[in-house]
Amino acid sequence: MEEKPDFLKISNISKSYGVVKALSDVSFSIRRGEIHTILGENGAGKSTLVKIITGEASPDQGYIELDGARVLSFSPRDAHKMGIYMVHQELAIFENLTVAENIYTDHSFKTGGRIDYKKLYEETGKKLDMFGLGAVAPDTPLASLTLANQQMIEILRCIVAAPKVIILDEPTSGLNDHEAGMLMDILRRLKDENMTIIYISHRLKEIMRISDRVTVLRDGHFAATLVNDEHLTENVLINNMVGRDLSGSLYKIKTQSGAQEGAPLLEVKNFVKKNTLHETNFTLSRGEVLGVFGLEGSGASRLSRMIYGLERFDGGSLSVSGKTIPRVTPRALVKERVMYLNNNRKLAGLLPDMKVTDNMSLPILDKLSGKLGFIDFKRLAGITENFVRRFSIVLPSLSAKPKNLSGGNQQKVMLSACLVPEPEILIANEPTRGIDVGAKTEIHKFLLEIASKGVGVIIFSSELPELMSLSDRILVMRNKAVVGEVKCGDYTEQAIMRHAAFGKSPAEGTENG
Amino acid sequence: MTLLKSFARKNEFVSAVSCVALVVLLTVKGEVFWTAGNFESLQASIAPTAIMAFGMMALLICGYFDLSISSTMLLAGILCGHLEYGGAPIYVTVPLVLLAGFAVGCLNGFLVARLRINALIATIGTQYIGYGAAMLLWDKIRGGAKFSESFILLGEGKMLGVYYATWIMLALLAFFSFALKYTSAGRQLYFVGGNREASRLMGFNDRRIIFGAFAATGLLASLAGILAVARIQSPSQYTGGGVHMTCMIACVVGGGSFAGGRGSAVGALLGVAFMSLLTNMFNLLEMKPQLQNVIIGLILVTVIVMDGYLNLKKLREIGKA
Repeated sequence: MEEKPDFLKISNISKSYGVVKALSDVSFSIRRGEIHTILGENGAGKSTLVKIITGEASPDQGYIELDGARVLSFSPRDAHKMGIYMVHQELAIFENLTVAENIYTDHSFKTGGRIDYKKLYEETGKKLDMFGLGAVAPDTPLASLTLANQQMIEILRCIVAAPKVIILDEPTSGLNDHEAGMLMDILRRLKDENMTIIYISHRLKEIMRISDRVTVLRDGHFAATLVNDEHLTENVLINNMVGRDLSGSLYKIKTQSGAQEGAPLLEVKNFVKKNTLHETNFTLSRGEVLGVFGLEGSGASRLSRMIYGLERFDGGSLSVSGKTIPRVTPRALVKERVMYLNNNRKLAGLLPDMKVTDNMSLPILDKLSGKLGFIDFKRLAGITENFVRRFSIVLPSLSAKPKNLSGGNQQKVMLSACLVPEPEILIANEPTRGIDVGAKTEIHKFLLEIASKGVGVIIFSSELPELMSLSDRILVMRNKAVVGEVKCGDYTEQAIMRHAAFGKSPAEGTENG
Repeated sequence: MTLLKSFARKNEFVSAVSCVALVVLLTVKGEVFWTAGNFESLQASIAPTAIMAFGMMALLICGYFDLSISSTMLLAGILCGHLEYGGAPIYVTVPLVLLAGFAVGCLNGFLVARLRINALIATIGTQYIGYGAAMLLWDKIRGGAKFSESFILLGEGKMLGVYYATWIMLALLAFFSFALKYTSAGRQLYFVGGNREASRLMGFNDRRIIFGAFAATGLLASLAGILAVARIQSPSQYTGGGVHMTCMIACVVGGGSFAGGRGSAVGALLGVAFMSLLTNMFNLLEMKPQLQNVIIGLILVTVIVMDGYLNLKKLREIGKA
């Protein structure tokens, strides 16, 4: 293949969110008229990088060059002006409007200020024909289209804007094989028209099929840019994604299971939800730490919410200590001494403006109240102090407010509040997201400690090393289903990532590619 | 048949059918319905309410509503009294009062679009301010005389046997129908109401669009106030009472939704017609006011439950509830 000139140059880009370094010193180039895939685990920095390219975020350090000119201002509007368009993973569509209006959102066809619907429908019809969607009438309301077609419509919208660079974030996640194939054809055609395409996907076969080059990010660092020639294999991609050296790191891979024998503590039977979760079964033993791993869109996070009754599901049952919960709600589960650690501290985990003691009292308010219904503040202070010590939470005083604490200490307060009622089961969704390494280690130690005392722990995490150091068993999810299980002792990042990247999901007919 | 089917799928279907049903019921039950006097009173109740409902519909389409239109309408009527009794000519009174309504609308728009205060709280706040201000002003003109001849003509005057107010309402119907369907500004209301986040990604100035809808609604409320007091020939402290609820129910009956993204001017008018015909029926059948309230409340709850259920279903699918 002839060498095409560099078009979009990413130079020494760094970006932090608080203590978390999302990107450190990332540099690589994308050529004009190529399909360039960006690959990486959750949290590898893909989305931050894309946000910087589309102007939704600005870098702390480094710069971007487009066609030789340095990009100085970062806003979505400016990016559009430069011809950079993005198809978002969560659809940016208008279900209340027609296909035509969803494609031409700027109402390009007007005569004297009056929108010319005839022309609009005509032009839309032509475009739909061109991209194999001739069966869709331009004046159909978008709400009546299938998810796949809605996604195609959004992609079409970007294409009609005649961009120079188009970024697609997991565009095939809602498409079946045939539709994905059609999209691939379209992308190849756009490439032939010298459009630059940045492609983000987890489907390795698809990436191998469509990309000219693949850039792999790992933990916010640039790992490699690989040319898609005969030497590139899926294994090479996986090794680049996970290639950490774990020998000297703080994570020690767990080799011996701490799970206790006996009847399961928790049992998930035939959990299903249409378009969200394929039939799922698993059990949790006393003293076991069960890890659940999945890349974006695998359904892992939503499964955690369903187990705790935060999201409805269509069918299946949940039993705790052999007892089936008739109606899965957070209240019913708290009663069975199951607690949930939310993945979002800011939105749904803490009461940031109330005292630390108040936060701790939340799950046990009724137990703290005496006969007359007054809260026993002395006992509450005792309990809080106990956790502060055990957990080495850094607090100015017990009446400090979580909003003034560091992320790590916030997370510890949140975890403590979950442990105050002495649960038998803890479901932790991303227990160490966005906190510093020190706090992370302490939380890990704590989770292992409660497990050793017989508590069953389920950890949903997108950090593979974390899961490998904590879990007795790891379930791997992909495409809305559990596709594999790896037992402690057999852990390697490659083995788990292979399941996560192309384990066979029963939710799909045949694998793409 | 296909024409009928496509009509049944339209958002305005429920309100249109309800209106026809009420007219049939009224024809059978009350002999007074098909009389000139009754038509005049229907016009007097429909025209000002529909004028405001166009604004309310625009707000609902972009995902908002305004509870202060009743007090803006009241304030407008009382301001008319002040200016009229002060001897101001009609061509000064009307623009000044419209300007006042526009100002209230802009305040609402500023609070909601710019300061991002919840529309419920913001417009209840301005409703209180407007009502209080109106009552202060009312004290000074209580028991005043009739309006001047020219001003009364605005309410009493007819063209082709139809009140001016109704003509103005029909003109606004045409204007809003066109604007909502054929102008970019109008369509942007649907984009913002359909998916606010996405509309911002498309580069729409969502805040300006919402601000505009509030400002227009304030302006229309003052116009309704002017026409209402001109019709009864003197200012009144009862102008606009409860009209914000009537308008909202009418708009939702007429195909609008609290979730935003749909609605039309014709729907707003049909909804208002439905509400007016209902009141007309209550009066002709001499129904107890308490029972009237129960029925109107039931309609409101039914309509909102249906609207809310559809939204909840959607939220459950995406796992947000």
